[in-house]
Amino acid sequence: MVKEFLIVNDFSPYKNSTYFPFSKHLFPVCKEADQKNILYLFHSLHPFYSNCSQYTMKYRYINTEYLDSVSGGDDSIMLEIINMFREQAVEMHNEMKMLLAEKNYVNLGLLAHKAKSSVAIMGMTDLAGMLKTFELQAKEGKEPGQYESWVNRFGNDTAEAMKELDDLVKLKSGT
Amino acid sequence: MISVERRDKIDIVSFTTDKINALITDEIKEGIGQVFQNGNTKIIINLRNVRYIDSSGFGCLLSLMKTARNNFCTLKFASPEPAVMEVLKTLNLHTVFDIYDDLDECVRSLR
Repeated sequence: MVKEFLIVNDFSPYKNSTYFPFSKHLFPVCKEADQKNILYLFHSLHPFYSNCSQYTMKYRYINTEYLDSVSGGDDSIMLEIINMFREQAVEMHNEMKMLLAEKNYVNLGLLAHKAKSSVAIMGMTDLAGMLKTFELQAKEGKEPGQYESWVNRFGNDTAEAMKELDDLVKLKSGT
Repeated sequence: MISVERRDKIDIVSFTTDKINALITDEIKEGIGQVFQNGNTKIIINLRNVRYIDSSGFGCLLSLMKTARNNFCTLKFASPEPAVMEVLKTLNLHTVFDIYDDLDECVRSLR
């Protein structure tokens, strides 16, 4: 069985009675992405699991509902926003690393301000909050010892978000 | 692949194929999606004569259930063949789907 399904079973208070044994044994030709999507659908419809965010929160970093509202439900606009984010995030992370190495904290703060809006569009509110702190501190040159971990977190979270966005794009395009 | 019959303001969707697999799920989603778009709120998927449903077929049925809930529609399933019912139970989908052995009974439950 696929590990994920066993984990779900272990979490279930009903054990063995309500979990979803949607395994490769039953469906050997099912793609992993489809399995994840089907599992997500099952959990979001099930009377017990639908109230448990750990089962229905398919994405940890991005907020698809927010993305939907920003794009007005138009998939082509959403794809455009996602592509812009991809380009910006990589560029910004490289620039952050460069400014940090140069100890150019004022510009680092200004860049954190710019990055804050980009991640907010993806619904990444936690990261946006961190960037707000980063912006304020860097503009004042306060707590410089923290900057490296903030830059690393920006790089890590946006990279994880991009993986989730790849998955979302696949789902939207039906591939 | 599907036919839609209207009875007592209930849309009954039946299949003209005995397999629901990856080859026809898009067509099914599109056809039944049209029924949702028409503003119909009571829909029955009649599984009579469907003898095989693969993973994408179950994914399709779950997706339709989700769409139904999002559109405030009631979606029920009727007359599954024994082999299909067995898989539905194995997958615990009977805890998510409202399934009736008999179509008329299913229709009565929606009146």
